[in-house]
Amino acid sequence: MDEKKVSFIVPVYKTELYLERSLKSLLEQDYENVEIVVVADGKSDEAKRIYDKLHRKDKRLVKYVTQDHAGACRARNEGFTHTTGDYVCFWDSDSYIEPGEVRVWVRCFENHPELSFVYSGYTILSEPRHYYESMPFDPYLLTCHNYISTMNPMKREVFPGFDENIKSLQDWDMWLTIVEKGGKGWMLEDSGFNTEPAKKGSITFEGCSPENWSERYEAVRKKHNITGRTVAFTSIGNAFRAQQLAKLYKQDYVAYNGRVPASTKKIYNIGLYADSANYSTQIFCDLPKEIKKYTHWTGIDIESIFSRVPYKAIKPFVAALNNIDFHYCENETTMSMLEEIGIDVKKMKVMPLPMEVKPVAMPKKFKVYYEDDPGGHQLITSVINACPDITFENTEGAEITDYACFLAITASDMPSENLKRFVAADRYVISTYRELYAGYTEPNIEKIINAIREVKRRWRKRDFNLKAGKAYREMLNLDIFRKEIIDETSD
Amino acid sequence: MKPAISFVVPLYNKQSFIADCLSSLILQTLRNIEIVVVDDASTDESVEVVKHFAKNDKRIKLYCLKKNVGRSEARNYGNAKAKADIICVNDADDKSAFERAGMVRDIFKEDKSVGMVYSSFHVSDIYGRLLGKITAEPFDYERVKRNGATHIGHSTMAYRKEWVRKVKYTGGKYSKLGIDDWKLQMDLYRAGCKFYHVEKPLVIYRQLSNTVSELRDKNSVCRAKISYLKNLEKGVGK
Repeated sequence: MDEKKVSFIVPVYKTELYLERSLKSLLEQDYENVEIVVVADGKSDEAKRIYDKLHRKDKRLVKYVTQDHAGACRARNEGFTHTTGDYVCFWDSDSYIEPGEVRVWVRCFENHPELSFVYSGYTILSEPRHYYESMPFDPYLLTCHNYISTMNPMKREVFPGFDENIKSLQDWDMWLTIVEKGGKGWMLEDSGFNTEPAKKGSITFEGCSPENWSERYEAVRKKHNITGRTVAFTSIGNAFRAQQLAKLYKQDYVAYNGRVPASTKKIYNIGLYADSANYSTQIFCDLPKEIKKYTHWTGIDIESIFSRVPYKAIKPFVAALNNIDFHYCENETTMSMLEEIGIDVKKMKVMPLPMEVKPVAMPKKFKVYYEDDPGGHQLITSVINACPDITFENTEGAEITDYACFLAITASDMPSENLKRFVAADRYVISTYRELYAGYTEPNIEKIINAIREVKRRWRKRDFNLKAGKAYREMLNLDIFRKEIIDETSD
Repeated sequence: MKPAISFVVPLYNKQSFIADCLSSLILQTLRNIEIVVVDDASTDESVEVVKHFAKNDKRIKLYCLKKNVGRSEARNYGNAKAKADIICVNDADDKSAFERAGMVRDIFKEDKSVGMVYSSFHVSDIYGRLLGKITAEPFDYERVKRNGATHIGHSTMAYRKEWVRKVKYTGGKYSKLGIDDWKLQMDLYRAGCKFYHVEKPLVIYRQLSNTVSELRDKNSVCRAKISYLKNLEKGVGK
């Protein structure tokens, strides 16, 4: 028998249609030590009938509670008092769990005693199905928006109770409360459960409706004292970067074209990516005029976008660009192209993601970590063939400590995060990025091999060509960026 | 067992290309060969690469010269060290077709009078991408007199060892100007060596931008060639 008990609390309100599917999915888990409490939020004969039918066969359905219609929070809190499990999970009756998921939870809790809760992404059963991908646990980003669904398990002792005064977003409020008390979460890979799309009249729908979203959102933020944020970072294609910048400058992160907090005075978008060209004709279209809009063109965004925007869409696209108050770009090409269509643009490098600059001990053997893309593949293959006495590797998730040198040959001009990791560790970096800190080398086989050989001959001494690390450290000066983007709002 | 063919590879600061060259030689369809690499005191890591190959393939013999003697001396040194009766030239940045050794051996076997064999060759850029083909033509002394070129790719040459005992690469200005190969071809012709050409391209010649043959002073080359040809007509000097 499985040792730890997992309790599910399932509130029912107008979802009798899906109740049986939901309960069955929980009972059919290969992890057997579960108990289920069903709470009817308002009397429901149908729910009672389904419960009784299943209860006859399976006594793990331990309790059926009926309350007067008082909202999901009340129902969940009520249900919780009837449970005894080591882990509790508030389950929605219109959702069903993936097979084997409960065992994954329990194993995760047992192997990592420091965790208070675990969570995963989920699939919305709309047409077509939509996979909501959650993101890795980050306490700061949880204050920007909720990325953890209610239907995730936590330890019994950390459950703070749902705040019944909050109409919606009560799950966000609960996770925030847990995290404020020092609770830690962990994201599990893949979709953990499937849920029906929000339907009119259901509890979830009221939570998602746009009408008074801002009001409710601000109520939660106020309760948790999340204030002083005037800038919202966003990105069309590189959410990670926007999130990290938001964290760094203690500002907000919002999903692209998502809702914006009431406190936002400026919205800053990084990168207009080519893949998004079809919808980037509506950049920031829903935002009020008062919010100042910034866009930072990175790398060769402009070329890829203009080569993909269909001719018909050029006019509205340019109009949309004019809608943006401030443009920044990284290079001359972008600058001249934007100026040609009458858009003022300022040149500024995008803030690289900060990484702790800390030299790491060199390995015993000389090995090169390499990165390429279709544009640099041929060259890098020639280089590797020409240096049979040197080990080249590019396994994913490599440890910096194993490599003395980093080589990147790509057609892109945006240094990868991996490259920065190596620079920050004071490794010798050879790349084709025209950045001072990226160890620029001409994409020519002889030049690159010469550079690698030079490094190989002298890497142990650590006495040459450490310009990259130095340049990177200088770039990490947060103030330039802060002055340009963030401080202006204060005056 | 005595090797059937010796490849002689003079090597000076070719760390980027020597691996390509050696891979093409160790994969020759004729297995009974030896590869003589003469390192002319390279200042880069070429030797490391050769050692890496030599560790896995005993047919590779590496000779390291203590100080830089120039390419013609290195070639003579390599020719002297070669054990086989037939020597194939292969510069460190060029590649041989896999069937080259076998074909060359067969030609020398069939016709005992042939002293030197050369062939057509492909030209490639520094990455080894083929740019074009240069077809071998019969050696024509009148044509050499007209425009100075022998139209024989040096890396495509293969000769009997007894001929390079008699005629050696000339150092000095010929080496510096990078026409020691031209001089050798003329000397062989003068000494009565019978040339034979193969239509099939057996070598891939890598076109580099910074080698002696690209950087040399074209005027000096012409002058050196003219004076040699004049002396040849008069029958004086060597």
